[in-house]
Amino acid sequence: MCSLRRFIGLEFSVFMIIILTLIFLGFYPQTSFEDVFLQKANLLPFIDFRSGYPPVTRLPYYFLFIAFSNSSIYGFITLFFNALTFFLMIFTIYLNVAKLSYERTLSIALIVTLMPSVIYFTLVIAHGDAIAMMFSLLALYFFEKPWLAGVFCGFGTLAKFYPAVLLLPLIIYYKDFKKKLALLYAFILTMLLISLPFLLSDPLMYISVAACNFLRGPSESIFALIDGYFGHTGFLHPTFDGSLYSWQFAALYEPTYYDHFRYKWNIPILPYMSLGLQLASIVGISLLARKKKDQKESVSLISLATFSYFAFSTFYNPLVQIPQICLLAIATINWNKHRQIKTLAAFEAVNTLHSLIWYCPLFLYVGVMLPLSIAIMLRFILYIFVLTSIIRRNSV
Amino acid sequence: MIKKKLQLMFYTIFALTVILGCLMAYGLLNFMETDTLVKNYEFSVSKDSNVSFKVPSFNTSDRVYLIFNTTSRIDVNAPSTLKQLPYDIEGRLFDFEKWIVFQQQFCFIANQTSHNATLQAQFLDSESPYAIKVFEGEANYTLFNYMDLYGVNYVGVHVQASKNQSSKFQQVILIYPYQQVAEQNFRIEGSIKLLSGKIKHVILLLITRDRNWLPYLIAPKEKIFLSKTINFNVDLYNQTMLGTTLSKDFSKQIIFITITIGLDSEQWKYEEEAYADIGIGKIIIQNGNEKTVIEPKVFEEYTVNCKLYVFHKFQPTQFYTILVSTFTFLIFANMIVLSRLNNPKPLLKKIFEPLTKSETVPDYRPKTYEAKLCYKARYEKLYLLLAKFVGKKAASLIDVGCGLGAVSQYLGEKGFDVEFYVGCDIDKNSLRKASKIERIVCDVNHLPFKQNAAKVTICSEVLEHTANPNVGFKELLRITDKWLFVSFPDERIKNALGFRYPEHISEPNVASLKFTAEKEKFALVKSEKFLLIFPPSVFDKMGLCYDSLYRPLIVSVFQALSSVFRSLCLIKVVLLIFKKSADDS
Repeated sequence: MCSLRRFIGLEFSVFMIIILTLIFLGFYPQTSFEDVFLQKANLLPFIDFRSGYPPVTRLPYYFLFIAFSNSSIYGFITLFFNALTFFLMIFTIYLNVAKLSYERTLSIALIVTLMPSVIYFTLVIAHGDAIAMMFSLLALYFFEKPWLAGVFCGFGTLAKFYPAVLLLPLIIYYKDFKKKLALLYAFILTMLLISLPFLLSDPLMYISVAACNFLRGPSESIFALIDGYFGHTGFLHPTFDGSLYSWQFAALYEPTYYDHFRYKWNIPILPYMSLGLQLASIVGISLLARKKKDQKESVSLISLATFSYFAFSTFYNPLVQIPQICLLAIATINWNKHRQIKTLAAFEAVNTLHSLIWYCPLFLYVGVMLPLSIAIMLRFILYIFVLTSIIRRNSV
Repeated sequence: MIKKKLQLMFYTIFALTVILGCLMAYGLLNFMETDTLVKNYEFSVSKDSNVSFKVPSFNTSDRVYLIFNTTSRIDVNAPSTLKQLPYDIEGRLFDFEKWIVFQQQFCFIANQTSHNATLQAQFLDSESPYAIKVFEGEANYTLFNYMDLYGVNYVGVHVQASKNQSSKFQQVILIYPYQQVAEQNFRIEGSIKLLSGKIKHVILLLITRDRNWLPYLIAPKEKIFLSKTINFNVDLYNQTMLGTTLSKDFSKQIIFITITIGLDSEQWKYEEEAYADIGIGKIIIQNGNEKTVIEPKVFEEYTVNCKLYVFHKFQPTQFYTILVSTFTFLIFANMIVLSRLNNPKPLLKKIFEPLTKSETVPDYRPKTYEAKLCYKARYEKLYLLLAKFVGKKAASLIDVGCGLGAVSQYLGEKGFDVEFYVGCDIDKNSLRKASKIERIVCDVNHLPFKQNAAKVTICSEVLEHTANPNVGFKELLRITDKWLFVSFPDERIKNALGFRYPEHISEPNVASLKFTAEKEKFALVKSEKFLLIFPPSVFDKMGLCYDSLYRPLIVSVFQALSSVFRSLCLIKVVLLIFKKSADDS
């Protein structure tokens, strides 16, 4: 149990400790190579250049870079901006958990706040997942109001692409056709209005941001493991390739099994299997949520449906832990408290191992393949455990 | 009738939106089909030679992209109409693991339209079987053919390093693309020779498919002598490299075989020139039945294939701008129509509804699921304080303003035991639903109970609804035998800003209540303030204010804002606990 004042007070204290520790240890956000390149080449994001992420995520960082990159406070300012987004994300978790299980608000919010990989990937190496998750969780919070859910899904999708996944469970969940339409209209209109400056300047460059992301290869998932791809998700091309439309970029390179952004599957059926599993799990779980009369259970199942998108995705990198853990916290809210906390901790442990493979120099000598395979398989087992546990519980 | 008209409007706008969307998509797809122009060139070149070639017509902002299939470094001179983009933030390809090290790429953005631009390329190196990259630190290199006294050929690499740089080490890497799965007899045989200068080591580095680096030290510093040939013939499949062997590695597919020449700035004395000349002899790779030979040959003259792409960039026209704007407007219009369809109240009726008909104050009490949950925090607080001061049991409790009986339900859930629980409220409809307790319809100003009727009295969020809170409060004191719990929202700031809830007609004051209580021999034992997320939001009120002005658009805007802020609105709640003095009770 936790009142808002107590929650804000505690979270603020924890945040201050985390931020001061990071400052003390010298962990600051670094300038993004994309921002440096854009400035150096005098290009505008989304108009001249195919950025890595949608505008709601990219632009705040780009403006921070433009404003403060020449100053020594850039690291501090970005750290505090990241902390603000992190706090808002935690606040939306608080709102959702308060709605479902008032007694667990503080414990869940604190557990997520204190997860090392969540801290690292929201405060130090931030790619806007906290912003995207904040909107997704707001959409989930207002899931009974299709207009609002649509607007927040729209904002979320313009931060990262995955919040759009939430639309599918919601569309299935709504029984009233008008509600479905309202959700879609609110989503499309939000997307259109925010994207309007870019759509008017160069719609193709803007669409290419999404196209390039969707056409990329697998990474660090069970499907990548089966296909034999052990690279990471970086853009292994000259940075100026980002100034081309995605199909122009594709025209330059033959697909190969080692190029994440121009990938040729060794087992071509794998991406279809992944998509099939994602669709089947999302639709199946959403149909289960639709049958539920208790809204608590419906929210938890909608969250699980969105979570299953990550479980069967061909793509993973340690940053995915942020959306994954937030959705998992809500999906497992009906579990026994200790069991829920153990599950969240298990995911965090696996993700920390996964992160260390890329960030700890030790693994350069040991080789990434074995520890990476172990981390991927452990996580997949956890996925299956969570999905089967919740589905079995709800289908009885 | 209006609903039918709205439906018709919805479908018409929807059809128009689809048509417009298709038109835009057609235009864009049409552009995409013709946005690329490719030209192939083939040049015979030698080191330091120049070639010129004409670029097809391009427009402003178009991209001109060049790919040379050579490992030689190239300088491209472009006319002023083309602006060259840096390779990456460092202006060079520093990651030698990239496959594209075997190509040279250039990208230009057109500043203006041109029909006769010419590009000039200068080839800076001779060509060898290897792509050469400098990794760690700065160094320059040139290639040359070398033949020793015995007539053995070598690929000569002259490395010029700098002693004054931040990185102590410099690595020059000769990369050979292999792309084969290593078999049990995988073995590399070859020779190297230090021709002049100093080097720190030579390493044979295999880069496997999973980007494992498997290094084998061919020549450590102590074995490198000037003009001495170092031959190596290594069974790499079983060789332990950085704690692993290929035979134990899952990924046996080798993408690159590289020879890494390591230099150390501290090797050279102050007056010495920091350089080294190294010869790489014939390399033979044995793998299964396949034998690959890398000939030690530097080609002074060679053929280069070049692909030139002109990638057109979309230029928005006025027509396109109008199309997009109209499309957005139509979506917006359809959304409004849809919202009207969802709300069955006719739009026109709502706009022209006379003021006199909307005299009744709308009931803004929370009905939504999440709103009810927000009340939980208040109930929880009340319960905790009850448990602390009264204990877990009370003989009699009067809940003044009990509404639907939520407090009694919550206390029951928490195990708070009341022998005789009476709920009273002025609203009959609410009381009907509070079926689990004794109910009395009454006004807080005239409570139908005798003096000291209840051990505990609760009055939660009631006094602010009365014109004079003190009157009701006196009544509460009268009926209370021992404990009185009173809570009300502290809305002074909000009210001062004009965001008063319509049904909150007064502002109970703590000092005034305390004064009244003390007069009636009650002591204030606890005063607690806490924040709650509390719907409805201030925007409901703002919408209500404008309702009277017949400005439906503003109402719609405020209602939309209201929806957003409804559950995020903070409210400060004051909870007071009074206890009757012992002598009086």
